[in-house]
Amino acid sequence: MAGRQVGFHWKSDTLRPGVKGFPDRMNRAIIAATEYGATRGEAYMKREARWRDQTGNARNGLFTATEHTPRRHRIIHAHSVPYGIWLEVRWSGRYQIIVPALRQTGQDVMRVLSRLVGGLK
Amino acid sequence: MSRAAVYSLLVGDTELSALGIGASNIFPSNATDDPPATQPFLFIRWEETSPRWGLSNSPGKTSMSLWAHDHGGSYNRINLILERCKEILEAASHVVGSDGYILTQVDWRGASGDLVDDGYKTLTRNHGYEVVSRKAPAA
Repeated sequence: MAGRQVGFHWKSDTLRPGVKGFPDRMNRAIIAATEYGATRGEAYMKREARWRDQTGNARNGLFTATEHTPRRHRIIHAHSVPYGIWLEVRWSGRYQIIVPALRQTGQDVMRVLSRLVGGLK
Repeated sequence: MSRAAVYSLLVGDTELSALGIGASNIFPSNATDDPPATQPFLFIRWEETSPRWGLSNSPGKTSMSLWAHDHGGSYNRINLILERCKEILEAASHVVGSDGYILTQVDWRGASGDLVDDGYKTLTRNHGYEVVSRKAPAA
């Protein structure tokens, strides 16, 4: 009696290309989340800074920068005015805005990243 | 947020008292522009509260920082005060405050570098925390 052979053939390999392209897609997702967080962070600082404006220079000078390298993505929140450091530390941080903004931005970035990573295919 | 619980934990500690910190020189943020001129002092700064685990009905976590100030040329006493505060708060669990909030847990989030406060004319450092608390159920 002739033996019966059972088998299957791969019609297409979707796994290996998908895995191979994952780091690149992941990197793009992190860049997108970082840029989004930076934009929101700058808006947060300018909106929430607790001092009363006199010239507007301190509030308008609050800015955010981003840096992207293959292994690191960075958001920088900073003052432009030279007395910005005193707004952060004077009177036990009464007018600080950088540290609260960092906390807010961190939460924003993690929230977006969670959604983006969950949607990567 | 559990303001009363945190305050009572710090104000009632004998080691902090020996370091010069007690009821007369622990202040909520923005409470005074005229702190002690010669003694160290401590500010408790409560920041934003966000829902824990992203759920609106979860216990809230609130960012809080302690700013220790001292006069003179050394950060030694400031460091001792902040380290003692850290020991007290990290050991605290389910502390019922007189304001109707229960402190559930305190997580240390880091320390600043050596700073100068040119408003109070002091040396200062601060420690950051996240405080999880909930409203006490009605009796």
